[in-house]
Amino acid sequence: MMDALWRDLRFALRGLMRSPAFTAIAVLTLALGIGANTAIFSVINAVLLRPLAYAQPDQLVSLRARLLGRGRKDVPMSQPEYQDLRREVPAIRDLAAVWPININLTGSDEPERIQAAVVSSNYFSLLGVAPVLGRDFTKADDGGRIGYVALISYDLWQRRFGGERSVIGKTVRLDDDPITIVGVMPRGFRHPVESGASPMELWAPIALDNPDTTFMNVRPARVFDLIGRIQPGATVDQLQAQLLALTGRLATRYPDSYPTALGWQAEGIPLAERVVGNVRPALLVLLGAVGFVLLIGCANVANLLLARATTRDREIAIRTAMGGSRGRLIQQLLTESVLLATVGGLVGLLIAAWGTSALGDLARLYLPRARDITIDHSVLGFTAFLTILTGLGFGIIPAFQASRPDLQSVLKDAGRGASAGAPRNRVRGALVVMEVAVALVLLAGAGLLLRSFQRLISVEEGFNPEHLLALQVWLPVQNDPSKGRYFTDPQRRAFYDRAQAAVGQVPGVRQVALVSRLPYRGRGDTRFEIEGRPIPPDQPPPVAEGRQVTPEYFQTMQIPIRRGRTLAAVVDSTSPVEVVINQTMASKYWPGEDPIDRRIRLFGPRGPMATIVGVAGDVRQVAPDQPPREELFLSSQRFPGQEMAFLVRTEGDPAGLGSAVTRAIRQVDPQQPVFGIMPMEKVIANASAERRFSLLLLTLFAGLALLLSAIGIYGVMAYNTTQRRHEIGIRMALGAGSREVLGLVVGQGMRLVGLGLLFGLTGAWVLSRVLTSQLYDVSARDPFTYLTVAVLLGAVALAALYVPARRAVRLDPMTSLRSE
Amino acid sequence: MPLAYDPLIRLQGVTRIFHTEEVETHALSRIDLEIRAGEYVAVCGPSGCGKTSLLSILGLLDSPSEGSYVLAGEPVSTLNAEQRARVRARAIGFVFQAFNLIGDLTVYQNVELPLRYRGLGAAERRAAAHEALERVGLLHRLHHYPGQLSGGQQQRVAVARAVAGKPLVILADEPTGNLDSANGAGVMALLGELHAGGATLVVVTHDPRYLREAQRSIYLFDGRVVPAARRDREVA
Repeated sequence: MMDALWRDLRFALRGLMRSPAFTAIAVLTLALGIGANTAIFSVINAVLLRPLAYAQPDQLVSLRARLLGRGRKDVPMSQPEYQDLRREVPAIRDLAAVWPININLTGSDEPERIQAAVVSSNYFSLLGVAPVLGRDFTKADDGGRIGYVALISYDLWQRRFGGERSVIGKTVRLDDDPITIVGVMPRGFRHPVESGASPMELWAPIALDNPDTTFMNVRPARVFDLIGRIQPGATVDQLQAQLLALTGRLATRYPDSYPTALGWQAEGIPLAERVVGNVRPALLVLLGAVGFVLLIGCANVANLLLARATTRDREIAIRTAMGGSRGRLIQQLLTESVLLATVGGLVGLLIAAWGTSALGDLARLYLPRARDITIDHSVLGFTAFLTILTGLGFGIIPAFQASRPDLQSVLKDAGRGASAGAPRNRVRGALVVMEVAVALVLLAGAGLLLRSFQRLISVEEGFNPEHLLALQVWLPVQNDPSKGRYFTDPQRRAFYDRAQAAVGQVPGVRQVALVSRLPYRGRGDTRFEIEGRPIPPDQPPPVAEGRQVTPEYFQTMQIPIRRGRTLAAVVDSTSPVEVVINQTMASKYWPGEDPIDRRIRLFGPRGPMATIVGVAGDVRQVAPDQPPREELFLSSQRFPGQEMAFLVRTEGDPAGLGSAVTRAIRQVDPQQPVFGIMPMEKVIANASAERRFSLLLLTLFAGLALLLSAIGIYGVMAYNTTQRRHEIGIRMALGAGSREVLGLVVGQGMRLVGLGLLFGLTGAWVLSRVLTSQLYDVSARDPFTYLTVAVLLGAVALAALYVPARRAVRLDPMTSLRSE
Repeated sequence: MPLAYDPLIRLQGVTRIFHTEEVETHALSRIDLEIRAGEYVAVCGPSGCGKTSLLSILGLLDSPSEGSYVLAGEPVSTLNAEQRARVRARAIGFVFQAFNLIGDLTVYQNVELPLRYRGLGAAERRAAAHEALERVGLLHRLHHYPGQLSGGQQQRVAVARAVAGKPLVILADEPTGNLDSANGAGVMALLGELHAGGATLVVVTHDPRYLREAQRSIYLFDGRVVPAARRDREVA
């Protein structure tokens, strides 16, 4: 058995080496297909399949809440809720709290803004991961205040401390507070729900059993992501049932905190599901798409093998005549196919290695666990499996076809006329139909995403992002805020005023404004109440998107003031509170009325009363695909926050001014990190990174499918033309001119293509719903897209057919007639 | 095209030279030949003497390297491929040694194919194809494929295809070469009947039996027409 296999392998190898052109084309086609599949699978493996790198990850759950009354989900929990869950949900064995924050790291090297988390001391032990250096947190690390000790990530240890073991015990400053590093987490440890773009690099403890009500110990302070470990044997369904019961009890116990209209509801889901988020459908679509590409590749190689089998009829007939069984012949032919696929698979791995790296970079912006994308044992196993499957897949039909030659006609060499190869022609034709159909499905998907993306980027942002640089600062907040350099409003106002003036002096800067949160960087509700319109007790208060801005904001962003004026300059915190609202808010609350000089109370019953002084144009604040919501702008001079973004309108390319602007801010405070420096256009682009990722890959795969299909159509028709040259010669002798010959070849090809388009349109129609969630302002069954891609594919097919058709026209009938 | 042209075919100084790499092969040298309408001419000669080359030029499958060819009063030696195809469609019928039927087409479709290229309407094609098949005695095999017929029947279909469009001349290249003697005789009898009906025939054949059936035979040797007086000497 092994001897026969070895013989087959050697024979197959010799055969492939004898046909270098065939081998090269087949290997390249397979390598592209297998490589692309491997690369996408490496993403799927890292993001969806690989278990979370924590102890018994199937016991880990994520606990958040829904606000049904406001249509919101994934709402963090408060400290009292954390305590309620620990006490009253028996399915939970342990519960850790995480408050993700950004923090300024100073004290050595350049000041840096890093992603950090304040966590309950059981965070690491709950996840079952111990530090690689130093120690874990203990309850003693936190005496009712955010800890003065920290654990750092392996990457931060390497980057900032050179990987020196002496880092343990070292003191750095986090938001000006001295913090002692007590441990380093192992390489590859990641916070479960971190962004690929900004990984968590430091953890500090917080004791959540602190009874001090000023210390975040109030129910509305919902800042904590909760990670739980359920009891062995308990299920997420049981947990969810207990959470629903708790929801009811809390609503009864604390009606003020949980009004019926709010619809607060605790929710627990497997942590792995939370990590994956909503990227699963997009990734599965990509896996399907890349599978289609491989299918087309297989069809091409199968076609090549079928064509090659014709030239081997005599060899196979002789083997059969000498007693070779059909099974034995099939085994030999399949050995060749699998060998071909193996070489393709190996080259594909090289493509995948490059592709995986490129995908990782591309995906880091939005994909969870994107940093774990790598070619590991699972991916290699998948590739090996896929390679064998591919080899069998494209080899089986040609092997069965080739293994039953018409002995008499082949050996007598008396086969004549087009009918001799009819079964193979039918198979080849069917493969072309399939290729075209699959390519059309991919093209339709890519076309829909492209059209959707076109709509998205043509959406009016409401401001002019060109020549606009964005950057952020976050003033430090010490554990004892009263000791901070930026504790008071005047301190913060002074910094911002000086920094704004300094940036304004940078050559190339035309205008500078500040805003508390950039557009497309999430939403932030500000509660308000309109004077004279009391809120019914059972209704939640109205909220609007709230931003603090400097008076120059509207002019710098080029947001028109439709009515009234911009905010007045404010010199201290006693100035009257002014507010500018957007058009959506004006239309919703003062339809047909002039809102100017109307008053609203901000932040709650004890908040300040503000006068509306202007109505600004609408801006898409939350995301490009979400319509503008009600928005109100307050003076950042009146309410100077800890976090502000600078918006710098520049004369030329904004990217070139980043360093100069950073230096200007550092002149005001050398310890102040400046981060997130990027042109506003990139901020917008990043907001649609997920769509770009899907679009780019699906377009790439569709392009590949189009190319492979064209090659497939060309290959089949070129082969058919060669095979039919005698028939074409006869037709020419009977009076067929170039038009008739052209029509014969093109007509035959286009019949197959037409059938493929028909199947493809049907397939695209059926599969369209899988893309629905990724589309914006385009129907998944958009007829224009379907028609366009069908015409495109038809045109490409026509071009692919033209070459063999021209060749047929140029045939010399005399030579063709002699060829039989 | 009217039948009144006399001669129907006139070749003057026709030479056909094939160039392969550095070798120049004179397949035909200065051939002068006239064939009258309704004439039955046999072309014979040893292998490689240029019979098929001559037939290819007569059938406008090839063009002479030198010399002129006038078919039915129309100079055709300088026509391009497209123009030659049009003339072939309306004026020439071929019968090949290897039948050259198209295996994927039925008997009927094979016979009506040249009529299609001539641009005839469906009814005309149908009538002409039926008439031709009736003439060769294969009307009952209308919907069969060539693979379902014997060699003799296939060649009769080929003859039907050649005559269906009522061409000016029927060119037959060794029409009995792939047939046994009985079938061969049958096909030659069929061609004889066509001639008796007024068809112009040029038949390439090796078989002396069929040479006798022709009104005139042309003997080719080394690409030249050998005069009757020299023929016996050359053959000897």
